[in-house]
Amino acid sequence: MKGLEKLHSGDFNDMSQEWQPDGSVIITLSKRGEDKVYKFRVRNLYQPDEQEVDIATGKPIAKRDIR
Amino acid sequence: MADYPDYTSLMQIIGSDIMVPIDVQAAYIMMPIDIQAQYVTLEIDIIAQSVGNIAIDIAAQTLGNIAVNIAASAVTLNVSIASIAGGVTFNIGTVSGTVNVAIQSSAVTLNIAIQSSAVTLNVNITNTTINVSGSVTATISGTVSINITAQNVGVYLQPEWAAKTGVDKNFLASTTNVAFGSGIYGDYTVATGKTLYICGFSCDNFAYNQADADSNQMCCVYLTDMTTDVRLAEIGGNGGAGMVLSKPIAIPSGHQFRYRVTNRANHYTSLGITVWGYEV
Repeated sequence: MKGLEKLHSGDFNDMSQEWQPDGSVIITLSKRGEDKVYKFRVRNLYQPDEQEVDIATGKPIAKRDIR
Repeated sequence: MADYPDYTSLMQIIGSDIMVPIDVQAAYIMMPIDIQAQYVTLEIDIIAQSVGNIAIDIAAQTLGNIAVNIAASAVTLNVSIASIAGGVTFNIGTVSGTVNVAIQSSAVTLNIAIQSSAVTLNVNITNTTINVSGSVTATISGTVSINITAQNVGVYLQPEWAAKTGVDKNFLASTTNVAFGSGIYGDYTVATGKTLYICGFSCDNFAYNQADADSNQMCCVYLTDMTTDVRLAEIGGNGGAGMVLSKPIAIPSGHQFRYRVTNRANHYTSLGITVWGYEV
Protein backbone atom coordinates (compact mmCIF):
# COMPACT_ATOMS: atom_id res chain seq x y z
CA MET A 1 0.00 0.00 0.00
CA LYS A 2 2.99 2.26 0.46
CA GLY A 3 3.49 2.54 -3.28
CA LEU A 4 -0.11 3.50 -3.87
CA GLU A 5 0.17 6.18 -1.19
CA LYS A 6 3.25 7.60 -2.88
CA LEU A 7 1.45 7.64 -6.21
CA HIS A 8 -1.48 9.64 -4.84
CA SER A 9 0.71 12.07 -2.91
CA GLY A 10 2.99 12.62 -5.90
CA ASP A 11 5.99 11.58 -3.82
CA PHE A 12 8.09 10.26 -6.68
CA ASN A 13 10.15 11.39 -9.63
CA ASP A 14 9.73 8.59 -12.13
CA MET A 15 6.71 6.48 -12.94
CA SER A 16 6.30 3.63 -15.40
CA GLN A 17 2.95 2.08 -16.21
CA GLU A 18 2.45 -1.29 -17.90
CA TRP A 19 -1.15 -2.09 -18.68
CA GLN A 20 -2.11 -5.71 -18.34
CA PRO A 21 -4.56 -7.73 -20.43
CA ASP A 22 -7.00 -7.91 -17.51
CA GLY A 23 -7.25 -4.11 -17.35
CA SER A 24 -5.02 -3.69 -14.32
CA VAL A 25 -1.77 -1.77 -14.47
CA ILE A 26 1.64 -2.47 -13.00
CA ILE A 27 3.16 0.76 -11.73
CA THR A 28 6.79 1.33 -10.89
CA LEU A 29 7.73 4.41 -8.86
CA SER A 30 11.14 5.69 -7.90
CA LYS A 31 12.47 8.80 -6.26
CA ARG A 32 15.97 10.17 -6.35
CA GLY A 33 17.72 10.00 -3.04
CA GLU A 34 15.70 7.03 -1.89
CA ASP A 35 17.18 3.60 -2.23
CA LYS A 36 13.81 2.05 -2.97
CA VAL A 37 11.64 1.26 -5.96
CA TYR A 38 7.92 0.68 -5.48
CA LYS A 39 6.34 -1.77 -7.91
CA PHE A 40 2.71 -2.72 -7.49
CA ARG A 41 -0.35 -3.66 -9.48
CA VAL A 42 -3.62 -1.74 -9.36
CA ARG A 43 -7.04 -2.49 -10.68
CA ASN A 44 -9.39 0.39 -11.57
CA LEU A 45 -6.68 3.00 -11.17
CA TYR A 46 -7.99 6.37 -9.97
CA GLN A 47 -11.51 5.00 -9.78
CA PRO A 48 -13.62 4.90 -6.60
CA ASP A 49 -13.16 1.14 -6.44
CA GLU A 50 -9.40 1.35 -6.96
CA GLN A 51 -7.74 -1.74 -5.53
CA GLU A 52 -4.19 -2.96 -5.21
CA VAL A 53 -3.97 -6.54 -6.40
CA ASP A 54 -1.37 -9.28 -6.40
CA ILE A 55 1.38 -8.23 -8.76
CA ALA A 56 1.84 -11.75 -10.16
CA THR A 57 -1.72 -12.92 -10.58
CA GLY A 58 -3.79 -9.75 -10.67
CA LYS A 59 -6.11 -11.22 -8.07
CA PRO A 60 -7.06 -9.57 -4.77
CA ILE A 61 -4.34 -9.75 -2.16
CA ALA A 62 -5.15 -12.42 0.40
CA LYS A 63 -5.44 -11.07 3.92
CA ARG A 64 -3.52 -12.88 6.59
CA ASP A 65 -5.47 -14.90 9.06
CA ILE A 66 -4.11 -13.72 12.39
CA ARG A 67 -6.22 -16.01 14.53
CA MET B 1 33.02 83.58 48.16
CA ALA B 2 35.16 86.43 47.00
CA ASP B 3 34.51 89.35 44.69
CA TYR B 4 36.82 90.16 41.84
CA PRO B 5 37.30 93.57 40.27
CA ASP B 6 35.70 92.55 36.97
CA TYR B 7 32.55 91.40 38.82
CA THR B 8 33.50 87.76 38.41
CA SER B 9 32.35 85.62 41.29
CA LEU B 10 34.15 82.45 42.26
CA MET B 11 31.85 80.00 44.09
CA GLN B 12 33.12 76.90 45.80
CA ILE B 13 30.59 74.56 47.38
CA ILE B 14 31.66 71.51 49.29
CA GLY B 15 28.86 69.39 50.74
CA SER B 16 27.30 65.97 50.67
CA ASP B 17 23.84 67.08 49.60
CA ILE B 18 23.47 70.44 47.95
CA MET B 19 20.77 72.02 45.81
CA VAL B 20 21.70 75.28 44.15
CA PRO B 21 19.03 76.92 42.00
CA ILE B 22 20.61 79.42 39.63
CA ASP B 23 18.65 81.96 37.63
CA VAL B 24 20.92 84.16 35.57
CA GLN B 25 19.38 86.92 33.54
CA ALA B 26 22.17 88.77 31.90
CA ALA B 27 23.12 89.88 28.44
CA TYR B 28 26.42 88.08 28.45
CA ILE B 29 27.52 85.28 30.73
CA MET B 30 30.47 82.99 30.75
CA MET B 31 29.92 80.25 33.27
CA PRO B 32 32.35 77.31 33.14
CA ILE B 33 31.07 74.43 35.22
CA ASP B 34 33.25 71.58 36.37
CA ILE B 35 31.26 68.82 38.05
CA GLN B 36 33.15 65.96 39.56
CA ALA B 37 30.60 63.89 41.35
CA GLN B 38 29.46 60.32 41.38
CA TYR B 39 25.82 61.19 40.90
CA VAL B 40 24.68 64.25 39.05
CA THR B 41 21.26 65.36 37.94
CA LEU B 42 21.66 68.18 35.53
CA GLU B 43 18.63 69.81 34.02
CA ILE B 44 19.36 72.36 31.38
CA ASP B 45 16.72 74.34 29.56
CA ILE B 46 18.13 76.65 26.94
CA ILE B 47 15.74 79.08 25.33
CA ALA B 48 17.74 81.20 22.99
CA GLN B 49 17.32 82.59 19.54
CA SER B 50 20.72 81.28 18.57
CA VAL B 51 22.87 78.70 20.24
CA GLY B 52 26.46 78.12 19.39
CA ASN B 53 28.33 74.90 19.73
CA ILE B 54 27.40 72.62 22.58
CA ALA B 55 30.13 70.10 23.12
CA ILE B 56 29.15 67.21 25.33
CA ASP B 57 31.69 64.62 26.28
CA ILE B 58 30.24 61.77 28.33
CA ALA B 59 32.81 59.34 29.58
CA ALA B 60 30.66 57.28 31.88
CA GLN B 61 30.99 53.55 32.10
CA THR B 62 27.25 53.15 32.13
CA LEU B 63 24.82 55.52 30.59
CA GLY B 64 21.06 55.64 30.87
CA ASN B 65 18.65 57.09 28.39
CA ILE B 66 19.46 60.28 26.62
CA ALA B 67 16.33 61.84 25.20
CA VAL B 68 16.99 64.42 22.56
CA ASN B 69 14.14 66.35 21.04
CA ILE B 70 15.20 68.82 18.39
CA ALA B 71 12.43 70.91 16.96
CA ALA B 72 14.49 73.10 14.71
CA SER B 73 13.69 73.79 11.09
CA ALA B 74 17.20 72.93 9.97
CA VAL B 75 19.51 70.69 11.94
CA THR B 76 22.82 69.10 11.08
CA LEU B 77 23.36 66.24 13.43
CA ASN B 78 26.54 64.25 13.25
CA VAL B 79 26.40 61.15 15.41
CA SER B 80 29.36 58.86 15.71
CA ILE B 81 28.64 55.71 17.65
CA ALA B 82 31.62 53.56 18.31
CA SER B 83 29.95 50.67 20.01
CA ILE B 84 26.70 50.01 21.77
CA ALA B 85 26.11 46.52 22.96
CA GLY B 86 22.37 46.89 23.34
CA GLY B 87 21.75 48.08 19.82
CA VAL B 88 20.70 51.34 18.32
CA THR B 89 17.13 52.26 17.38
CA PHE B 90 16.46 55.16 15.09
CA ASN B 91 12.91 56.26 14.51
CA ILE B 92 12.93 58.79 11.73
CA GLY B 93 9.62 60.39 10.93
CA THR B 94 10.10 62.49 7.84
CA VAL B 95 13.32 63.14 6.03
CA SER B 96 13.33 65.19 2.88
CA GLY B 97 17.06 65.18 2.45
CA THR B 98 19.61 62.43 2.35
CA VAL B 99 20.28 59.93 5.08
CA ASN B 100 23.72 58.45 4.88
CA VAL B 101 24.38 55.47 7.06
CA ALA B 102 27.86 54.04 7.18
CA ILE B 103 28.24 50.98 9.35
CA GLN B 104 31.74 49.73 9.82
CA SER B 105 31.52 46.70 11.94
CA SER B 106 32.59 43.11 11.70
CA ALA B 107 29.16 41.84 12.69
CA VAL B 108 25.99 43.80 12.06
CA THR B 109 22.36 42.79 12.29
CA LEU B 110 20.38 45.26 10.32
CA ASN B 111 16.61 45.06 10.22
CA ILE B 112 15.11 47.48 7.78
CA ALA B 113 11.41 48.07 7.31
CA ILE B 114 10.63 50.64 4.70
CA GLN B 115 6.99 51.66 4.38
CA SER B 116 7.03 54.40 1.89
CA SER B 117 5.29 55.14 -1.37
CA ALA B 118 8.50 56.16 -3.07
CA VAL B 119 11.90 54.94 -2.04
CA THR B 120 15.22 55.11 -3.78
CA LEU B 121 17.47 52.60 -2.15
CA ASN B 122 21.00 52.17 -3.33
CA VAL B 123 22.65 49.19 -1.78
CA ASN B 124 26.28 48.50 -2.32
CA ILE B 125 27.40 45.30 -0.70
CA THR B 126 31.05 44.44 -1.00
CA ASN B 127 30.97 41.50 1.29
CA THR B 128 32.34 38.25 -0.03
CA THR B 129 29.56 36.02 1.27
CA ILE B 130 25.89 36.79 1.71
CA ASN B 131 23.53 34.23 3.17
CA VAL B 132 19.80 34.70 2.97
CA SER B 133 17.72 32.28 4.99
CA GLY B 134 13.99 32.01 4.59
CA SER B 135 11.92 33.33 1.75
CA VAL B 136 12.36 36.58 -0.05
CA THR B 137 9.32 37.99 -1.79
CA ALA B 138 9.73 40.95 -4.06
CA THR B 139 6.95 42.61 -6.02
CA ILE B 140 8.47 44.93 -8.56
CA SER B 141 6.42 47.01 -10.96
CA GLY B 142 9.31 48.92 -12.44
CA THR B 143 12.51 47.85 -14.09
CA VAL B 144 15.01 45.56 -12.46
CA SER B 145 18.55 45.83 -13.74
CA ILE B 146 20.87 43.12 -12.61
CA ASN B 147 24.54 43.34 -13.26
CA ILE B 148 26.33 40.22 -12.17
CA THR B 149 30.09 40.32 -12.39
CA ALA B 150 30.74 37.23 -10.39
CA GLN B 151 32.80 34.55 -12.02
CA ASN B 152 30.57 31.75 -10.81
CA VAL B 153 26.83 32.40 -10.89
CA GLY B 154 24.12 29.86 -11.63
CA VAL B 155 20.75 31.03 -12.90
CA TYR B 156 18.30 28.22 -13.57
CA LEU B 157 15.05 28.10 -15.44
CA GLN B 158 12.21 26.51 -13.53
CA PRO B 159 12.42 23.06 -15.19
CA GLU B 160 16.14 22.86 -14.47
CA TRP B 161 15.61 24.04 -10.93
CA ALA B 162 12.85 21.47 -10.45
CA ALA B 163 15.23 18.70 -11.47
CA LYS B 164 17.87 19.99 -9.06
CA THR B 165 15.43 20.19 -6.18
CA GLY B 166 13.79 16.84 -6.88
CA VAL B 167 10.26 17.91 -7.81
CA ASP B 168 10.52 16.86 -11.44
CA LYS B 169 8.27 14.16 -12.86
CA ASN B 170 8.98 11.59 -15.57
CA PHE B 171 6.25 9.33 -16.86
CA LEU B 172 6.67 6.27 -19.05
CA ALA B 173 4.26 3.76 -20.53
CA SER B 174 5.09 1.04 -23.03
CA THR B 175 3.63 -2.10 -24.52
CA THR B 176 4.26 -4.56 -27.30
CA ASN B 177 2.44 -6.35 -30.11
CA VAL B 178 -0.21 -3.71 -30.70
CA ALA B 179 -2.53 -3.71 -33.71
CA PHE B 180 -3.48 -0.71 -35.82
CA GLY B 181 -5.59 1.75 -33.80
CA SER B 182 -4.56 0.39 -30.43
CA GLY B 183 -1.93 1.78 -28.16
CA ILE B 184 -0.84 2.38 -24.61
CA TYR B 185 -1.50 5.10 -22.10
CA GLY B 186 -0.55 6.18 -18.61
CA ASP B 187 -2.62 8.04 -16.06
CA TYR B 188 -1.63 10.39 -13.28
CA THR B 189 -3.83 12.45 -10.99
CA VAL B 190 -2.06 15.62 -9.90
CA ALA B 191 -1.33 15.59 -6.18
CA THR B 192 -3.43 17.71 -3.83
CA GLY B 193 -2.34 21.32 -3.64
CA LYS B 194 0.10 21.02 -6.52
CA THR B 195 0.21 21.79 -10.20
CA LEU B 196 1.77 19.58 -12.83
CA TYR B 197 3.72 21.32 -15.58
CA ILE B 198 4.44 19.30 -18.71
CA CYS B 199 7.61 20.42 -20.48
CA GLY B 200 7.89 17.83 -23.24
CA PHE B 201 7.07 14.37 -24.48
CA SER B 202 8.25 11.77 -26.96
CA CYS B 203 7.28 8.34 -28.27
CA ASP B 204 8.64 5.55 -30.36
CA ASN B 205 6.92 2.95 -32.52
CA PHE B 206 8.61 0.02 -34.21
CA ALA B 207 7.52 -3.19 -35.93
CA TYR B 208 6.75 -6.15 -33.76
CA ASN B 209 7.57 -8.60 -36.54
CA GLN B 210 10.82 -8.41 -38.46
CA ALA B 211 8.98 -8.64 -41.76
CA ASP B 212 7.49 -5.18 -41.10
CA ALA B 213 10.72 -3.55 -40.01
CA ASP B 214 11.18 -1.56 -43.22
CA SER B 215 7.59 -0.37 -43.39
CA ASN B 216 6.28 2.94 -42.15
CA GLN B 217 5.76 2.91 -38.37
CA MET B 218 3.14 5.60 -38.07
CA CYS B 219 2.06 6.64 -34.60
CA CYS B 220 0.51 9.57 -32.79
CA VAL B 221 0.60 10.98 -29.27
CA TYR B 222 -2.18 12.61 -27.28
CA LEU B 223 -1.93 14.45 -23.99
CA THR B 224 -5.33 14.91 -22.38
CA ASP B 225 -6.76 16.42 -19.22
CA MET B 226 -9.29 13.68 -18.52
CA THR B 227 -11.05 15.75 -15.84
CA THR B 228 -12.01 18.46 -18.29
CA ASP B 229 -11.82 16.14 -21.33
CA VAL B 230 -9.60 18.69 -23.06
CA ARG B 231 -6.86 17.49 -25.37
CA LEU B 232 -3.73 19.45 -24.47
CA ALA B 233 -1.28 18.40 -27.18
CA GLU B 234 -0.83 15.91 -29.95
CA ILE B 235 1.80 15.00 -32.45
CA GLY B 236 2.29 12.30 -35.07
CA GLY B 237 5.30 10.71 -36.64
CA ASN B 238 6.83 7.78 -38.41
CA GLY B 239 8.74 5.60 -36.02
CA GLY B 240 8.35 8.11 -33.24
CA ALA B 241 7.81 11.75 -32.44
CA GLY B 242 8.77 14.24 -29.81
CA MET B 243 8.30 17.80 -28.72
CA VAL B 244 9.91 20.13 -26.20
CA LEU B 245 7.42 22.75 -25.12
CA SER B 246 8.54 26.35 -24.92
CA LYS B 247 5.57 27.00 -22.65
CA PRO B 248 4.83 24.26 -20.14
CA ILE B 249 1.31 22.85 -20.05
CA ALA B 250 -0.19 23.35 -16.58
CA ILE B 251 -2.53 20.76 -15.15
CA PRO B 252 -4.28 21.71 -11.91
CA SER B 253 -4.41 19.80 -8.67
CA GLY B 254 -6.75 16.81 -8.71
CA HIS B 255 -7.02 16.61 -12.49
CA GLN B 256 -6.33 13.30 -14.17
CA PHE B 257 -3.63 13.60 -16.80
CA ARG B 258 -3.43 10.95 -19.53
CA TYR B 259 -0.57 10.45 -21.96
CA ARG B 260 -1.23 8.07 -24.83
CA VAL B 261 0.49 6.80 -27.93
CA THR B 262 -1.41 4.94 -30.64
CA ASN B 263 -0.16 2.67 -33.40
CA ARG B 264 -1.20 3.97 -36.85
CA ALA B 265 0.80 1.47 -38.89
CA ASN B 266 -0.98 -1.32 -40.72
CA HIS B 267 0.90 -3.99 -38.83
CA TYR B 268 1.63 -4.95 -35.25
CA THR B 269 4.12 -2.74 -33.43
CA SER B 270 5.68 -2.14 -30.06
CA LEU B 271 5.49 1.37 -28.74
CA GLY B 272 6.16 3.56 -25.76
CA ILE B 273 5.72 7.11 -24.60
CA THR B 274 7.61 9.31 -22.15
CA VAL B 275 6.45 12.62 -20.70
CA TRP B 276 8.50 14.92 -18.52
CA GLY B 277 7.81 17.96 -16.44
CA TYR B 278 7.63 19.00 -12.81
CA GLU B 279 5.07 19.28 -10.05
CA VAL B 280 5.08 22.14 -7.56
